[in-house]
Parts: sequence; structure tokens; C-alpha cells
Amino acid sequence: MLSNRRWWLKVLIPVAGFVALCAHAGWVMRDTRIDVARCLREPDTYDGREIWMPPREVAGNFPDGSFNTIGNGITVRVRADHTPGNGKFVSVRGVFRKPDLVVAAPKGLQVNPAYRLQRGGVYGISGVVLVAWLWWFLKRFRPGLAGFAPRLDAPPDAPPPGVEKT
Amino acid sequence: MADLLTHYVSARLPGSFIADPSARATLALGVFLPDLISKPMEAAPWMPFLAWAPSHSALGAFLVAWAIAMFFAEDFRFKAFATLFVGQLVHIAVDMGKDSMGFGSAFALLPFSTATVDAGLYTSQHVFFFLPVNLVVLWGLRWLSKKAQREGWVWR
Repeated sequence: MLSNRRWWLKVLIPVAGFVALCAHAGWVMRDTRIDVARCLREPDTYDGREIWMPPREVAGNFPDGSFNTIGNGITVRVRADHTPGNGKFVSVRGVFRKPDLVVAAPKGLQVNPAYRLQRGGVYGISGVVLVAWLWWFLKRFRPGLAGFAPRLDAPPDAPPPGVEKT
Repeated sequence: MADLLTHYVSARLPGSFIADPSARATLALGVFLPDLISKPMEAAPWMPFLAWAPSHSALGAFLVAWAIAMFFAEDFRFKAFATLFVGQLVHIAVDMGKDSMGFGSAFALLPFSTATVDAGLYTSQHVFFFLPVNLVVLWGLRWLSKKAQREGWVWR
């Protein structure tokens, strides 16, 4: 398998196609779905554009009702119809206003008080499931030079391994 | 992202109608793949925003299934491809049910359209609610799987 040039070609074609799709997606959506880091880099360009921010931690409130959020080392001020407490996590959909403000749309603020616990739960459960699946996969497949081949089930009347059938 | 247990449970429904246990294992791999590919891409700081999106699209799923199926033995390759592909489609369908405030987490029609579906049925916070529900559903699907195998309603 690995020494076969045609096999390599058959792997490289879909991999190249997938890489091209990723490059295309990054390029096409760079102006339709904007991340907050780009807005802060070019505030004049993206002033008034709709953005979405994945969960970020609330860190400090302002007297005008807005609050600071921190994520990936970037601080952004958010104004919404209510102010979540410090330490909570918020996802925001809203409009970017220069230089560093996001005005949340109506129902554009999701508050998550237990974000870290919930993410830990997602990754913890997912890890256990992956380990269990890997154990199952290796039980079902035999790795070899011809690729992963399914292990054949023994017929129901087969004797245990090492015992001659009489 | 729903947790992988939820995704696994969603794969057990079509998996109940597959006779070959090896094909059921590759179906489960298929249902994990979109997140196994997108999460590291999302975390990589040098990766363009949303470059991971094709991992949650039908064409991306087709290409990934094709590439990974090549690592299986020739007589099992088509089954591996079909189950990996269907598994990824199931994953994308489950992600379409998520509530991401209209942003969407599954770009099913890329590169032809950047539209997403956001049914708003659950958020990632529901993971702890899903855990007992998943275990009950898993038990029900186990029963369905046995019945399907017994009655011969299966893909061989």
C-alpha cells in the first residue's frame, strides 16, 4: 500500500481538495463573518458590521452599563440590555462600533455562568468516548501493510484458541 | 459542539441497521471526525478564521471519507468510505440543531453557499442534561439494533 504510487495519489487528491476547500472558506468568509480581532485591527473598515463572539469572560463593568470581556488575550467592551457579573462567560452577536465596542443585538447575549465546568465536561466525556472507541476499533481491525483489515469473527462452533477441534 | 457521546448516540441510530460490526466502528469514527478535524484547526493561531468550516460541510465530509478510507484494506474500503461519509453527515445534522445565535456551526453547502442552519434546539451548556438522556437513548438503540439484526433489516 505505502509503496504504491497510485495509492499515494489517491490519498493526496482528497487531501489537496480538502486543503483547497479550507483556503477557500477562509478567503470567502473573511468579509462576511468577521472575527473581533480583525475589527480591532481595522476599526474604520469594520465599524457598523455585524459580528459574533464565541464565549469570553466578563472582566469589569463601566458606569454606562457596558462591560469588558476578555478572550484570547483580546479585550472588547460590550453593551447589552443587561450586565452579567464578573467572571461569567458571554457569547455575543451584535454590531461592532469603533474603536472597541460591540453593541449586542436584542437576544444577542448568551450568559453562561459555568462555562469552564461545561467545557471541561464536554472534553472529559468526549475523551472517555474516544478512548472507548479506540479500544473497540483495535478489537475490530487488524493494522497491516495492506491497511486496516476487519478481524474476522470466529464461527459460533469454533473451539477456543489453542484447542484442537475434535 | 455537542460532546462526542451525543454524536456517538446519534450514530447508533443508522448503526443499528448495519450488520457488520467493523462498519459500525467506522461509522462511529465518521461521526467523530468533523470535531477531531475542526477543533485543532480552530485552536491553531495561524489558521484563518473559519478555515475549519469545510470539516462541517458535505463536500468536505466526502473528501475526508475518501482520504481516510484509503487506509483500510481494499475489500473493506467502500464500506469504510460509505460509513465514514454517512457518519460525518449525521454529525453535521446534529450540529445544525444547535443554538449559536444565528451564526451557525455547520456550513453544509460549502463551497457553494456559506449559509448555515441554526435550529436553536440546544446549546453546549446542555451537556450535563444530555448525559443521562444519552445513556437512556443508547439503551433504547441497543434494543433496536438487536431487533434489526434479528429481523434482517440490515445493510450487509
